[in-house]
Amino acid sequence: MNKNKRNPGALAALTGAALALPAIAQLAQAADMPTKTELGYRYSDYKEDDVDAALVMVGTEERYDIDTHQFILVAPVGDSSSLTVDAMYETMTGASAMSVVETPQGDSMLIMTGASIKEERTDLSAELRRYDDHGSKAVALGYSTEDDYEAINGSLDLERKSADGITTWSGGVGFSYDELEPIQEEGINRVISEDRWFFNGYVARAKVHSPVWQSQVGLYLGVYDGYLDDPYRSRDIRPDTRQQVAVNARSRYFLSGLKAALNLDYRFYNDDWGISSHTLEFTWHQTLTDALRISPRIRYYSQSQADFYVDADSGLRQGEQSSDYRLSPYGAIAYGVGAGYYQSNYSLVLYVEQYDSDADYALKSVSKANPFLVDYTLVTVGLDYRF
Amino acid sequence: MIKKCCSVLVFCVGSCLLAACETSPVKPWQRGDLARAEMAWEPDPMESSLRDHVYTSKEGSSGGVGTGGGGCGCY
Amino acid sequence: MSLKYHKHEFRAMGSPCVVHLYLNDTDDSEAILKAVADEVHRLEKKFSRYRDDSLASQIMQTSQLAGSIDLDNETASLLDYAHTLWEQSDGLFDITSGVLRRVWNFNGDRIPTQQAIDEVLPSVGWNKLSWCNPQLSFPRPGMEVDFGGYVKEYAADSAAAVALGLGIQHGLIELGGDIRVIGVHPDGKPWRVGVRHPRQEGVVLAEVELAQGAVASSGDYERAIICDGKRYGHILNPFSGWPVSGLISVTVLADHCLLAGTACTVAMLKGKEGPQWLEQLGLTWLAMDDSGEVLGNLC
Repeated sequence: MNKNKRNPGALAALTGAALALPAIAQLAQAADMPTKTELGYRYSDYKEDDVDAALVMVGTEERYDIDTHQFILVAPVGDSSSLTVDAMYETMTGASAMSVVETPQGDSMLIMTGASIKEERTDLSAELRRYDDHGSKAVALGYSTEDDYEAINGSLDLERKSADGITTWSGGVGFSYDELEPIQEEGINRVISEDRWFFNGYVARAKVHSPVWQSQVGLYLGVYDGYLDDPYRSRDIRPDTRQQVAVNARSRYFLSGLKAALNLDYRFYNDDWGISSHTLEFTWHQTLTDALRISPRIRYYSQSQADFYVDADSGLRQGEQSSDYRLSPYGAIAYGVGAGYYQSNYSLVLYVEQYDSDADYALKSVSKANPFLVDYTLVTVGLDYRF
Repeated sequence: MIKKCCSVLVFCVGSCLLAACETSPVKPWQRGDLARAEMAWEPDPMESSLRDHVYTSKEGSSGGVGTGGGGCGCY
Repeated sequence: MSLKYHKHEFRAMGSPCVVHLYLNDTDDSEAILKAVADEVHRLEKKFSRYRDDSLASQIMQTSQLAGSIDLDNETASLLDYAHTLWEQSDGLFDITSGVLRRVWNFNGDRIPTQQAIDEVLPSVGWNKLSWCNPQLSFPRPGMEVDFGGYVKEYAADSAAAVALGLGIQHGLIELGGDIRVIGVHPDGKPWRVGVRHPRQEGVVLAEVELAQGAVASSGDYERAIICDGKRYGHILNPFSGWPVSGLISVTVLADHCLLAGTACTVAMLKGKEGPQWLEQLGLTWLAMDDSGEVLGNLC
């Protein structure tokens, strides 16, 4: 007789029979399902550093300053569902680059959008999630509007746990339909109205390796179809489609002795515009007392340029082209710290992040840096209340 | 070249994760530390959604697991 | 506002019971503790064979008439569970074996004759009943269905579910030594549970840390007849009608108390083969065999 031969079928049969009992099913769901209603609020101040005045040929050197208010409500609905409602309201002021031009000396200089603009953005979304004994499924709908922009989006998500709870598969599909009506300015010829579709999907597998270690790997695909140009740039012609693929790996490790959680996230991204990127993020969550936690974080990002990226705009060039810094080769380092004070019925959080991008931070050496690379500071304060 | 390096890296990460599958399964009552808030994939969903929104609108890449179908008017 | 530890002790299902909860200052602690204890009392009332108004008595009356009875969801699910466990234990876990207590009196000091046992044995056998959810039919009078072998374990899970439904996240339910965790201590520390030595009163055989899930124990120390220096434990083999031997105590850790408790019972019933069965199921366990040796993968 083989002593070590496992018979997981027997355990599965017994667990299955036990889960037919309402109380046991409720306990099995309970691990994930919210039992309390939670209200959350975050205020964030996002401020981009001014552009180096020496690089601005026309316009202001002032970049975006954004105030963001976020609200969330998570509430249990009945015995086996939860509802999440998210709302976001942003006000933006500042200017962005309209064009990059090359001086006769060969330097890149910026032409900024006329006046400092003021814009508002509102974003609403709701998710209904149903829990059962081996996971959950969710449907979500969202709406987003800006002065020049309107979008609806929706998604379906599914999460499935193995009987022993060791492996969790998750997956989802989503879409977004966006309509743009650029704000018109005297003397500038902009498109009147355009739209685009976006479809995405992901699948991920998470696994518990030890009492202190779990990890997740995932694959993501995204497809854009429609108008993808930047209507505010003087010369910006991009393909009508964009196909993205990304691979994620995330690890969560707990150091019991130090009471510290080490979170490591990595993403490799690639698209058919020619951009590939690496993102590596590491957070050290240090528990100081029962109620206090401090979390320093560092994030590294590096991308290659899009095939049609150009150092400077030229009225003579034909075909696809853009001098948008987001399509240029560069790297970025973000570092920050979060702090939280947690009580059973409320918590207070604070986050500060500094983001610096530079062509020299890229993995590959860059011959000519885009003059509009962004540096910013993001400060968030928040409050959560549970009842 | 860089591209090749990184597929190797991703492959390594993937295979390490798979290799670790073979150890004896962790029981529910041993998962106290794994259930801590800071061990979640998104310890603060509001904070990560805002940062994702910023990164997506300021960088050339977007997407990844856990990213919803949210639209973004950031071109 | 902070969480405060509350403890409520009461007696139910013939055992001392304790509810340990951490509650907010603003919570109505008395009402919450009562609601949790009431769930245990509800199940006791429903499944006690000693109450005329209980469902168990109703089932017993049906059996005496060789009739049929339609059962509610909860009871039906408990019977489904018993059926699954009967299959998985090769017929050893049998909720019809309660009739053997007509001849085995564990409050006394005498053992029955083989003839007395042989007279009762034909009334034992889950497969002799007809169970077609939700209808249970007794083919002939004299048979019994007894929930006593696992309702206490289920009650621990059910009381934990009630607490959870009231928004409690930190606590533990203890019903006569069977334990179901609601959630860790507020500081994140797991509960420490001692496993008693089956032969030495007050001695702890092992200590386990529980963040979630349940732990249950079974042993011949609970009730036994000592006759001519030999110990006859209260766990009876449904085929022979005699107390089982091989193991003197078993402790099992599982997701829920129902599984932990019934797995202990099956291991005791299987005797020397119990450990192997627990291993095959992939459970975490600790046992002491009749030679006093401690076995198990619970380190």
